[in-house]
Order: sequence, then C-alpha cells, then structure tokens
Amino acid sequence: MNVFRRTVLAGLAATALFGGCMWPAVAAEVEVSKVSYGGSPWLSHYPVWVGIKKGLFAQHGLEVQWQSFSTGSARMSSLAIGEIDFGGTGSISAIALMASGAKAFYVIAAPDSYATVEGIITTPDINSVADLKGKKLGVPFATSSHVLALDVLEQAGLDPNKDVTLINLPSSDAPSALMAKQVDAVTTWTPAFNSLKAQPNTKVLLDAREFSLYKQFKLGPGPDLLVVNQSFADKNPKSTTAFLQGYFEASQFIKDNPDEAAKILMELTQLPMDEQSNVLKDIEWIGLADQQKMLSPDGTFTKGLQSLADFLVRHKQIDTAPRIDQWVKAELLP
Amino acid sequence: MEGLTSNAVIRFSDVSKSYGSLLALNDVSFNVEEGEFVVIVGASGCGKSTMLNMIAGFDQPSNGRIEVQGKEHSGVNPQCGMVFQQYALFPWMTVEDNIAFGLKMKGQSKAERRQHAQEFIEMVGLRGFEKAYPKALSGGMRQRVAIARVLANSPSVMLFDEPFAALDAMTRQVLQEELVKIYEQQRKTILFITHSIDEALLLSSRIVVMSARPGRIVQDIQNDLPHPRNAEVQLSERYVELKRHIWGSVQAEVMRSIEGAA
Amino acid sequence: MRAEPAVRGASSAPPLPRRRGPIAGASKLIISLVSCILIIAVWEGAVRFGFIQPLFLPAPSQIVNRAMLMLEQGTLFGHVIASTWRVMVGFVLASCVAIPLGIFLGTSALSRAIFDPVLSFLRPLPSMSWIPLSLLWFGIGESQKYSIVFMGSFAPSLLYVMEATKGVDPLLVKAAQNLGAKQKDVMLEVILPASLPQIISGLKVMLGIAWTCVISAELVAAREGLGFLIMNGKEYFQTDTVVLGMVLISLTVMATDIVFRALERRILKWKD
Repeated sequence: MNVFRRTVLAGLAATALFGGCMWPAVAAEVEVSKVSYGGSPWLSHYPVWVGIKKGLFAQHGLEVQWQSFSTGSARMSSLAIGEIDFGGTGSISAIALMASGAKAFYVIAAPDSYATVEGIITTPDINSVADLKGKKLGVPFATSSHVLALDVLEQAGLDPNKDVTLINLPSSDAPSALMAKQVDAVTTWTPAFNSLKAQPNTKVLLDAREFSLYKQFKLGPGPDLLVVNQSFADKNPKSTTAFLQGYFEASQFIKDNPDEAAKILMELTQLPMDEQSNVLKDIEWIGLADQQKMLSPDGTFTKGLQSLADFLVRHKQIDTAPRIDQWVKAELLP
Repeated sequence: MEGLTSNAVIRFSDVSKSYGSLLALNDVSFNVEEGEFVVIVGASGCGKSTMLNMIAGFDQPSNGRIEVQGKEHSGVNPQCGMVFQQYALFPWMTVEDNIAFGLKMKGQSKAERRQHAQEFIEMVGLRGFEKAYPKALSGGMRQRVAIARVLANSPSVMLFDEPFAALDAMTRQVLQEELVKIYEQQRKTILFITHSIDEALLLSSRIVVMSARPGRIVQDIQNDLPHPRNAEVQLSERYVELKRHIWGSVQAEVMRSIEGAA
Repeated sequence: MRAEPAVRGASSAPPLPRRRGPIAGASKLIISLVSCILIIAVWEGAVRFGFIQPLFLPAPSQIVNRAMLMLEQGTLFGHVIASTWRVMVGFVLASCVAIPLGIFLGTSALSRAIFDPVLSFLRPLPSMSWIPLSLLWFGIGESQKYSIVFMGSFAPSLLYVMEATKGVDPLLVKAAQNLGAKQKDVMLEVILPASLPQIISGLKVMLGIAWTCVISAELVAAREGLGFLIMNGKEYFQTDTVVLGMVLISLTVMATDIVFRALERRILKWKD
C-alpha cells in the first residue's frame, strides 16, 4: 500500500510538472483555469479522478479540484449554490432538483450505463417479482434502486404501498440486512450488488435491464449525469467545454487501459484490485461521439429522462414533472 | 441518680462522643425515669442534639452505653419518636397521611389508620385540615402535625429537638401550653432540648444544664413549680430564683465557649 | 402553520399562578400573536418577491399547501403518530428502568461506585452512534427505533434521577426512619416522592432529547415518521416538506409538553 501510494504521489508530481509546462500554451483559451468538482467513490466520478491523476484536464488548461460528498443530495445542494462548479449526480436527484423549480444547473453529459450491476437480490425462496407479495424489500429511498423497485413491482401488478413493505435501506447496509434476514430482498447497486451476488443463499432476481425505460430507451432507472452550475457555464463556456474534453479523454483512457485505470482508482474507492477491475468491466462508458445525439431535445436520453420524471410524478415521489430539455445543454460539448 | 432504679427509661452510662478529633460529649451519665419531662438547656454546640440523635439511634456513642428501656440499640429506634425543629413533614402527604405514616409502616390498613389518625388530629386541634398539604399550613400548625405524627406512632419516649425555636412568640406560647396538656394526658416520657430557660421552666419536671463543648452535665434540677404555670407562677419568687440559678451556670458556659472560640 | 399562534398562545398562558412581568397576560398574548403574524408575513413576502429562493426556504403558504396535500393523501398524521409512538415507547421504557435504578443508585454509595464507570462511559454517547449496533441487535424493525430512543435517553435520565435523589432533604429520611420506615419504605415512600418534582423536570428535558433520538433513528430503515419525512424531503429537494417536518416536530413537542405539564400539575399538587 505504501509503495503504491508513493508511486501515485510520484505520478502526481510528474503530472503536475507536465501540466505546468503545458499550461501557458492553452491558458488563453479558457476563462478560468481553476474549477472544482463534487464527487464520491461512485463509478460515474471515475473519469474525473483519472483525468486529474493523469493530467488530462491540465492539458486543456484546467486545474480541477476534487471535493468529496457522501450523498448525492448534499452534492447537488452545493452545486446549486455555486460552491462547486461541476458535479456528477444520479438523475433522480437531478430531476428532483429540477422539480423544485431551481434553474441552477445544466445537464451537460451522460457518462455511463451500468444496468447489469444494479438490481434486486433476494433470499433463494423467491423466484419472481410476484413472490415479493407480503415480503419486506429494502431499498435506498430516493435513488435509482427505489425507482427500479417501484417500476418492476408495477410491471408485476403489485402495489408498492400495500402488497410489499418497502423499507428505506442505504445501499451500504443492504448486504448485512439481507444476510441477517431482516429483509427478504434488497434493491441495490455495485459494489453491494456484486458482493451480495457472490454470497451463498442469495439470488439475483433481476437487474436493471428489466427496467421499463431500459427496454424502451436503453436507459437505466437512475442514469448518471454530468452537471454544471448554470451561472458558471454561462460565464465560462470555454472552461466548461475544456472540462468536457478532459472528461471524455479520461473515460476513453479508462476504456482503453482498464488495468492502469483500476490501479489509479483503488485510492478513491478503497476496493481491492480484482474487485476494482470487475467493477470497471460492468460499466459501459458512453463516448463523446454519442453524446450530442443522445442529449438533443429528441434524443433517447432526454426523452428517457422525461419519462423518468413522469414516472416519479406517477409514483408521488415528486409533485410535477419538469421539462427536462430546459436543463439539458448539449451545445457545450466539444 | 446512680442507676439502679428499675424504671429508668433512658440510661446514659459514661457516654462520650467524638467526631474525629472533636470531642462533643464527655463522659455523660444520667437516667430518665418513666413519665419524666426532662428539658436539656445549654449553649449551642454543647452536644444536646447529639444526645437526642444517639437516643433515637441515628448516631452511636464512641464510648459508654445508652440503654432505652433496658436495651442497647444499634439502629434507629422507632420507640423514641422525634419532633424536629424544621417539622420534617412529608410535603407530598396530606395532614392525615403524615400523621398516619408510622401506622402505615406498622402495616395497619387504610381504614384503621384513618380512624387512629383522626384521634390525634383532634388532640392537636387540626380538625378540618385532614386533607390539607403542609404547604397550606402555618409553622405552628405544621409542628402540631409533627407532634401528632409522633404521638400516633405511640412511642415510649418523645424527643423534642428545639421544636418551637422557629415559631413566633405567640404561637410558641400556645404550643407550649398544649404540649403540657398533652403531657399531662398521655404521661409520655419526654426529653426536650431548648435554648430558652423560660421554656425549660414552663415545661419541665426536671432541668438538665449542659456545659459548653465538650458537653457535660453541670446541673440537674427538679422543677417543683406548681401547675398550671400561668403568669402568676412566672412572677413568683421560686420561678425567679430557679431562673437566676440556671442563668448563672448557662452564662458561665456561654462565656467559656466564647473564650474558647477566641 | 395556521395552528401555530393558537398553540403558542395556549402554552404561554397556563392557568397556574405565575409571577407576571410588567406585561399582563392578555396583552402578552396579543403581542405574541402580532409578532407571530408579522414574522410569517415578512417571511411570506420575502419569498413571494424573490428575496429568498423557495429551494432554500419555502414560503409559509407553500408549507401549508404541502400539509394540505399530505392531509389529502392521508399520510400527514401517519408520520406524526409513528414518531410520537416511537418516542413514547422508548422514553417510557427508559424512564421505567432509570427511575427505580436511579433511586437505588442515588441511595447506595456502593452500587454507585460499581455503576459509575459504565455510566460515565455511556453518558456522552450520542444516540446516532448507537445506530449501527442497534441495526445488528434489533434489525430494521420498530424495536430498533425504540432502542435508539432508549439508548439515547436512558443514561441521561438515570443521571437526572440520581441527581434528584441527592437533592432530597436528609431530615425527611431521618423522620421516616424514626417512624419505623425500613430501607425499602425509605426509597418508595420518601426518596421517590420527594425527588419526583426534579425527576419530572428532568424527564421533560429528556423528552426533548428523545425527540432528537427518534429523528436520528428514522434516518435509517424507516418508511414513515417525521425524521423520515425530513430526510426524504431533503433527498427530493422538497424544502417545503423538510420545513413542514420541522414545524410538525415543534408542534408535537409543544403538545406533549402541554400534556406533560397538566400531568405534572396533577401529580405535584402538593408543591408550592
């Protein structure tokens, strides 16, 4: 670990030097060179972490400062008041913030898809969603897993308020609660999903590919979004574009060099190397080439998000559905 | 008084009491006979209260023996009922329940207790206040309740620790007269502590004068004043003579304690 | 929100004789009412005219609307009742253990010496810190919520009771023993009633602590309750729901305080 940390530090120092040399050449192109990003160990933040460590943002004249937030809502609150400039978020949190009427941010990219590492894991005696009737299902409320649970219960004709007892269970508590049989099933995502899957006496009932919008739009129950503070983007479009450039270079780097990326990411996620590699295998990175099309007003992603918002209204999670395209800003893409 | 008298209710034999290096009571021997009303007079800190506390069993002598009705007691002895200067009524209990407390401890039924308590409520003139809480009573009334509470428990000895010191002069006089009446009626053995020589002369059948610390008995006088001890008695020659006599030794002790302190 | 001035008024004018300041009862009520209306009006205006974004603080009317909506959906009282019930169960359990144990410990120096290290260790632990253990021990059901309230309020209650027994006039104990009371009688007949006023005022403080406990208990594995309401509202950026949850907690605590006070007056009618 020590040796590893030392190499990372050495790498950091090197990239800092390297970036420092590059900087003057491009500095004129961006309005501000120091930007901040709100992240967490969750996978949608991987490209930013790797981009910082590999000096990919520095190549575009940006110094990105990493800020950690343990919950998505805290991150979004911070972004909404302009404490941080960029952030990654789950779409549920973003749609909720849109529904509150705050026009504080833009959606600028759809980084990834991970439908195979989110789903419902049950005790072995449950064979179908219909079997969940009268059972306890642990879900982290106000997350993609919550949406997935509501959706598949609806598809199976079960009323989430009557037929099943939904219990608010954070993803990190899901494994212990299911193993202790405090609940009959949990809806959760990686890495809790993967670690539970590996346990004996558990069963993957379904994954997020069963989500109705996935079937229709290839959209997971809570796709990740890259967002930017609105006034920052309005004032600094070039910096925003530079950030996106660095971001997609980093996601391409992860796709091309999974082993090196995994090594860099271990420091962020504290996962062992083999688990880290496995997580990377399950992620489908959406490249820069697809972004423009997906994020256009008629794009699948925008439409999918709109359907998701309608879904949340139908399930009384939010009051009114915002018009998603008012928040999506594809023109800043490089 | 040298102790072979068979009906001595309280017997002190060479009793000393010290608290650490402080000697409070030094080699005290005396008896109280059945039916006596003994008043102990003395300057503050002469160990009067210590004596009462040891009789009641709140405290044990460092040396010597204290016998109550021929027996030594190692714990609190409910046979010696104590009336405190600060009343010590239970504020959460009504007058009736306060008076019946000892009976409750004896396991009497509620009806028995009420009937029994009523007798003493009437004896101390508190009829109509049965359901009142102590907070609603004057100091004099509270002390009546305390006296009735001890009486209801029918102890063989009643101990009074400066019971009227906190009351105003008028109330004090009324209560003194009532106490004498109760004493004549019930013929309890009474040990009574006071600062007031007049109070001692009015109440007692016998007066014990204590010295300043360490407490010793300096005078033991039979009070032969006739009853009732009304204004006429209080102006009589014998009264004045006794008062002067006691005052003389008390004053000497007070002076001694002041000098000792200085 | 509309109910707030009325409740506040009721709590500020108890029928007990109380030392009055220079402002008499009725005019005090009016001043409180006016200040209440004024604050709400300024608040409403500040949001309506855009000085405050609703995301950061919604207007009173928005909070009322949210309450109406939840009333229609029939979920409002569910949250209030769920939390109140959890507070009551945990709090009553904690009191039932803390009062006898506290009286026992308060009167026995030996047992105090035995229990002191454990108590000193437990006392500073916030209820939040018990959440992981409580999940392991009690699972994610109601008993886990009770246990959080219990653990959060037990140790401080015990200390309150012990402190209260220390305040009992030793003369009363002496008098009781003199009247034939044994150790058990002294505890039940003297120490308990004599320390009751202080125990009750301690329990009133504890009730407030129990409420903070229930809010933390409801952060995890809950589906209803005011703590859940607030946290869930936060996740969805429904600040009106968050503030509504806060208002409901405040109102519920005020209401329980009124009930508690009435109870106190009944039990302590001997007090001056």
